[in-house]
Amino acid sequence: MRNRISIWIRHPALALMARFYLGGIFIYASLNKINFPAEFSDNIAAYLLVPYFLVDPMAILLPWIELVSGVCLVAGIRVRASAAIICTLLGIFTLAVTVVLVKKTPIDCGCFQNVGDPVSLLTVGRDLLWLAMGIYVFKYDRFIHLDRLFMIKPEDLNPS
Amino acid sequence: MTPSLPHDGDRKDYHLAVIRETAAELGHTRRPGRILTSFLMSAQGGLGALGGFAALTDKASEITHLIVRGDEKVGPEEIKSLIKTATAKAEPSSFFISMDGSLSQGFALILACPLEDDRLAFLGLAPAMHGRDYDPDDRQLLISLSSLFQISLNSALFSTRVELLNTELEKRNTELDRQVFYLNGLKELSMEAGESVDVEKFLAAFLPTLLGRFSRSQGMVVLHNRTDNAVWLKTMGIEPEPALAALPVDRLLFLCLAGVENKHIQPLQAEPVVQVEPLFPLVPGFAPESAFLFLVKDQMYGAILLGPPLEDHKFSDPEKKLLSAFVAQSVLHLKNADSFAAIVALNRNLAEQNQALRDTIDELTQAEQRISVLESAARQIARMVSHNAERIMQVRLLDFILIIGISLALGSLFNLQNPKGLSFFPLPRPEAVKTVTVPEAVRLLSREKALLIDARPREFFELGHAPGAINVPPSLFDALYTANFNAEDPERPLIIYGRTVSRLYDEMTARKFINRDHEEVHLFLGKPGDLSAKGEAP
Repeated sequence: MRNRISIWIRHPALALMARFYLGGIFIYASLNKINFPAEFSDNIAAYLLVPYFLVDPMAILLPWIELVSGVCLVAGIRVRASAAIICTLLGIFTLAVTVVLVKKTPIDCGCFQNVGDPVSLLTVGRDLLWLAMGIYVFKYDRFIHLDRLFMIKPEDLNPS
Repeated sequence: MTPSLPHDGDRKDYHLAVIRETAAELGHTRRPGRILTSFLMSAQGGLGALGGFAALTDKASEITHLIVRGDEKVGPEEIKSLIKTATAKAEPSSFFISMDGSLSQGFALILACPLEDDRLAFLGLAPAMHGRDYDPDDRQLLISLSSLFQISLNSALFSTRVELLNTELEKRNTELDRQVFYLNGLKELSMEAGESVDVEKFLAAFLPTLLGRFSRSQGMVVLHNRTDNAVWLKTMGIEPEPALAALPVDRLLFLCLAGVENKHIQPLQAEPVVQVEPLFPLVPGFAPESAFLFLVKDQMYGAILLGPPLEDHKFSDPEKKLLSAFVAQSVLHLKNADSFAAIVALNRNLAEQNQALRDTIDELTQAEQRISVLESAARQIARMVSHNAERIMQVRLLDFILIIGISLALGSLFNLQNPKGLSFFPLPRPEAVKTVTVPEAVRLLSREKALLIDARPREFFELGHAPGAINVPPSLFDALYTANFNAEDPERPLIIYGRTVSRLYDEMTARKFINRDHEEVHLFLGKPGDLSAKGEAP
């Protein structure tokens, strides 16, 4: 039974689904931030964790890092590096949200929308779940990689 | 040998003289007829007989020699009859044969001497002259003479036999010499054939040898291979020389086949052509005396035609056999030559196949080398691909740099093109904006009725603010200004505070008031609590 569960957990199809989900989430989250950089800048500033001279550059670039990483994750290009970046971002986000929760700073999360999404333990739990999914993708994903699609595979060269 | 008998001593001397003379005379002759004559004369003279006969018979008791002297009354027939009778009565123990008067035909003494080879010699003596009877001395003399006669005749017969044998041997020697001559010819032919394994060369050597050995001036050899329709022709002494194209080879061989007794010729067999006359019209100027048809192998026939002998020599059976052997030998050589030609052709074919095989091996070797190179390249490519595949699965610093670099580039470009784009660097503080210390702020608030403005977001304002402060965050400036500051005197001093580690809200709001033509805009960089601590209130 444990073996069966272990096989299912390690199944590449499951990792593929997690990859698509995580990539989609990050693509979706980045689009609003890219469209409204000033609002996202305010959201970053509200956390009171980033020096003021870095807030705007971060508001400009961070959504694009999310977008490019999400696209790479969905398309299967440099999947492990993308998953690692996303895991890093999620780690930072989780840490920031935790700090805000501890300091009881009354701000919105700013994850998907600029307003109406207050920071809570649910946010921390959600971020931790996504972080776990990112680690899972990093470790077990090996299906449908675009950067391997047109490349000769070792098993093709040595059929025996 | 005159018979004169004065007394016994003289008579004995006389007998001895007769014996001696007879022995001397017999010693000089080896012919049986002469010996018989000499013996008869010695006996007749020594005993004084009026006549007599001497005869020699062979194994079959047939008279081979007969000498009769002195007695004309008795003819040869009577003597033959007498000898037949005497032969029946002859005894080995005694020379003398006693016969009755009628049977003796008038002869007083008849002797039979046994000779070698069952021959017999007979001597018959008529009565002595003057009616004298033969006494014992006469008989003794006759016995002595008979012994001599017996020895001489045996010797003569032996000599005669030796001569006959010599004659026979000479005859056989001559025959043997001839056979040796032919056999030498065969040997020479074999040696010449051994040196030459070509059909053309063999025929060129064979025909002169054959003609020379068997004393022929004309000859022809023709060979026809029906498989490839090849024809070989060699002639000697035929005028005009027949042309190969004009020669009806098939007809010639057919006529030869018609002329042999055994029509079923086997390979390597030569058959003499018995009827050669039908061949005469085929080759002008050549009337073969003898011919042979032979079969070298299936579909390869040949014929040897020989002209008449140079001398009028009649060939004996051994010579004919030797000629057949000669022909058979030549057929064998022709077969060898043909086999050699086939072997040469096979060798040539084998050499060509070997060359082709060598070429194929070379090509295979080159292909193998190419395959080795390709396999090596394939292994190298596989290693490279495996290495690349492993590298793709690995996380590299370059991947991070690439993703983040692309993100930075795209973000920067998009921000430049975005009307709502942000500045990468914080804006400098406007020159019109002045900073105030706590005492100055207190003074402005108390004496010049300055307005105290909290620029932080509403959430932070609600958590705590300086007493009397109005919340004007930069994000809501336009709405709040329209609602609250449109009627405000632009010259009224404004003291703005509220900056965090992440955002300079006070500067942002101050910049907006400057833009609305307010002249006295001051930034309070201290803590809001400092103002409440002094007890000042707007």
